[in-house]
Amino acid sequence: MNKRQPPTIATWILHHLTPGQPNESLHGDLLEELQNGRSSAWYWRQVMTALAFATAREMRAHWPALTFAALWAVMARTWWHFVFWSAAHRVGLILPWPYSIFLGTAAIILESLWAGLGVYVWLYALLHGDSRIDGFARAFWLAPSLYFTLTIAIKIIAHPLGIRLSNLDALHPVIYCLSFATAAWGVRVIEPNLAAGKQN
Amino acid sequence: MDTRDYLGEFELLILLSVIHLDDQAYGVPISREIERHRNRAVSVSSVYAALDRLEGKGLVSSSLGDATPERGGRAKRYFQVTQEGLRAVHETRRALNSLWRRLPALEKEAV
Repeated sequence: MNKRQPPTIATWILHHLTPGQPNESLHGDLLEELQNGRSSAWYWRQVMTALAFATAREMRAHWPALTFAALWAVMARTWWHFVFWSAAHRVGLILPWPYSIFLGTAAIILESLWAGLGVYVWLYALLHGDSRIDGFARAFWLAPSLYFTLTIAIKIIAHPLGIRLSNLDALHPVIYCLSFATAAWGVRVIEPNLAAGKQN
Repeated sequence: MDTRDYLGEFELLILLSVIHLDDQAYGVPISREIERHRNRAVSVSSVYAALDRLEGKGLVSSSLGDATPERGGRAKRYFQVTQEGLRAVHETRRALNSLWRRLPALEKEAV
């Protein structure tokens, strides 16, 4: 019997882009239905629905990280515009291009992302009454990596479409929230049995 | 129903399908069963999302079966309704029956 192969990209999306624990049984069910005569279009629809459901579930499960990211994005943006820039102007810290990019990048990483993650992890440990936190280091490199990857990707997409870069400023808080929340989702209190395992 | 939540329509359909399918209740037959009775497509992932919710409420339990080649070596996840789940189904039926009995005219018009 010839086995029908599922669409490669859809399968990759199901494996790598679906948030949360991979649902192997669902994947098996989709393959089984494909062998029973379902179309590739049906498989794609199922994968997209699975992606939507998993994202919604993860957002519900991690609403504190998402809420904190949104609040911190507003605060960081306000601080950036009304405090940092005016102070930088007063002390003559405004560097010419391209050096200004380094200053801006350092400020975004330190003030917006790392400071925010530091406060989030501190509050998280405080609320859980436990200082054994996992995912802390990963969150610190993941947040800036995601932020700059998404920013560059959007600029690459926007340029051929003729969209002015200044019009993309409104997207920054959204990119920030996504990067911050994705990084913060991995922050967990280490379960006692896992902590014991790590020590062994 | 004490402080328990009432079952939603989709949750009730899933529980009834799981009861009907007995030891063959996993993702594919459950979604096919619901499709057959609803006359419209049901995504397998929406069935899993509802089953996960029901399992979280203690209304169903699940166990992994054997892996088969046609499933790419992935195991089937079989679902069973718990005693609590059966109680919830009976309670929902009782509430629905009680409401329907009070609407005899509507029952005739809907046919």
